[in-house]
Amino acid sequence: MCIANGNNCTIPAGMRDWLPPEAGEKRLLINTLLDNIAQWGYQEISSPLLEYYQVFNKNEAGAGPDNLYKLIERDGSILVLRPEMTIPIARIIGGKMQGNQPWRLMYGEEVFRYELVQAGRQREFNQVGVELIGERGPEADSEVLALAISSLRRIGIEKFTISLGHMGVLNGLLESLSWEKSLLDELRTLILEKDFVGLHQLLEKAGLEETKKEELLKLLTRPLSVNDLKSIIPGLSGGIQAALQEIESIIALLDVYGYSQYIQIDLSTLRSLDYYTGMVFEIYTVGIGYPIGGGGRYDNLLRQYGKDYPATGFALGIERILLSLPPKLESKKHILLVGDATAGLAGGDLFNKAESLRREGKNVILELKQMTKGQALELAEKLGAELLLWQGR
Amino acid sequence: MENTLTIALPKGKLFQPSVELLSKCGLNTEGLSDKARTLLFEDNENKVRYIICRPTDIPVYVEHGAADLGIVGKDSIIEAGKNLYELLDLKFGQCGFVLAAPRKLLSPDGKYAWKQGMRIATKFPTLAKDYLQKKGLQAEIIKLHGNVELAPQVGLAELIVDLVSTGQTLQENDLIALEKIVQASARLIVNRASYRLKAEKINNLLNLIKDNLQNIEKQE
Repeated sequence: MCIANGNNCTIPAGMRDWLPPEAGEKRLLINTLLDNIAQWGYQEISSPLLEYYQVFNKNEAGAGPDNLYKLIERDGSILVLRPEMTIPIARIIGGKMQGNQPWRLMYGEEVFRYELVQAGRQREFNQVGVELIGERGPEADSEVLALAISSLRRIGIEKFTISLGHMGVLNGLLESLSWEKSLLDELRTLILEKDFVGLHQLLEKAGLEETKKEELLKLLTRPLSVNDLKSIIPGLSGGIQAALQEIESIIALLDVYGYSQYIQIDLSTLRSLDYYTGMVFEIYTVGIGYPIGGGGRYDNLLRQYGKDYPATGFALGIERILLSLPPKLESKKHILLVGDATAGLAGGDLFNKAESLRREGKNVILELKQMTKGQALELAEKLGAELLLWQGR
Repeated sequence: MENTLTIALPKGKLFQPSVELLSKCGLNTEGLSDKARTLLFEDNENKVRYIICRPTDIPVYVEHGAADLGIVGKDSIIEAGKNLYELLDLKFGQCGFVLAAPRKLLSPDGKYAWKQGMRIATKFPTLAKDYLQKKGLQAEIIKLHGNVELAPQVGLAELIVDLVSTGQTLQENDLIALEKIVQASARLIVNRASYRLKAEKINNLLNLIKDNLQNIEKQE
């Protein structure tokens, strides 16, 4: 019995219960994605829900991410519910991974982030993702992108766009401006939040020369085509040039997969996690106002956990993908077998029948109760099942 | 909805200038009104749909993608703290956030003595909190939904943070602006996904609006 005004029946904000059929649909989606990824030679890895706070707080002086669920261990140390999977995997690679790189790893796990409730976001959500560890270069980056595209196509999402950027562009820009750190941080935030008005105002305020300002805004405030890239590359400084050339090679490789039509170059694409070093991307689909996935290259992260390997990967948001999937076709109907085993009827036969149907992949409910045919039909109706066999009087 | 652009327009004082701007860009804005009961308008010819709603709700519609674009004051964007892209300053609807105090609390030379445990009444708690943090000041923030100028007169708060366009309200209530916190004007905002998926349509409209704003500037 549910007591309405206590915490007996409610769940914490940002959490959700999964009822049938949604729970099954979620499981099927995760499994289908993982099946597809496994066929690309990726192996599943799993880690605990709880980690030490320090694992996620390796950044120099910073206070670490502020959206963590924290708990106190009995010995006084601080634990967190993992907010993502890349860092736990980096920790595993650094400490206990057997064998040799490159590793192709995949996961399907739930993660927790303490988002503001009014933002309309869930605080527990599922991610399916991959990490390709130990490979440098556009070949690995394009493999990861192609794998993301192939996975989305496998589950029936056709209309989506991947906006591709590169951290080298932003870093190159920041380096070329000899500004004080607070101003650079402000610039970074404005680009991350796509506050183009603020960007204009800041550049104005900083007294940047007109040509340089134009160049910067042109790079950052509109999507580019491969041809655009070709024409602007020569005029740019070294770091930015190298970044753009890398994007060019990644797209050329995706052409080989036949997937380059999904890519849109958008150099203002930045991820809020700050460990990315190379290409970064976000995936958008029709009808969902947020990215359904994203990823990028992070060559300096693993070093903090003891192994200096380059790495690249992506994660897909399962809840958001479920929202964007076309409505399910009617789910598999259950089969109902009814018979009274105790009344000397052939209960064993019924069970054998059920088992053989189950081996064929059917979902079978076996009801060993005495019923009239009418009751059995009524039960089938109630369960939404098909009454295949009835033995009784 | 794939080929249609949905634009959210704010009721109130930003409504008329928004409609004028869009009609100058060649969109059919006939029949658009923020007084009518209809809150949804379709322009089938240009494949544009309009949602008319409260200014504070516009960032919500746009963040979730229920509207691709929105026109809204910077004040609403700051207060909402939403994850959306701010494309353009539309220049109209200029106003400023100020910190204000009753005249009688000022020293003869117009200075205000900041004390611990002050209370600030405001409709914009997020903005007020950010401001206090930046300044390294401490105060209690009291959220009200309107007529903030009343609070100091009845002893609910010592100070207010409010939006000021002409300054008349402050004057009538014998309040003095101590500091301008930030300047606000109408902005064109866009949903993150729409910005990618409807890039061409959005950029076309964006260019039209930019041209129009430049023309207006030249005329002035």
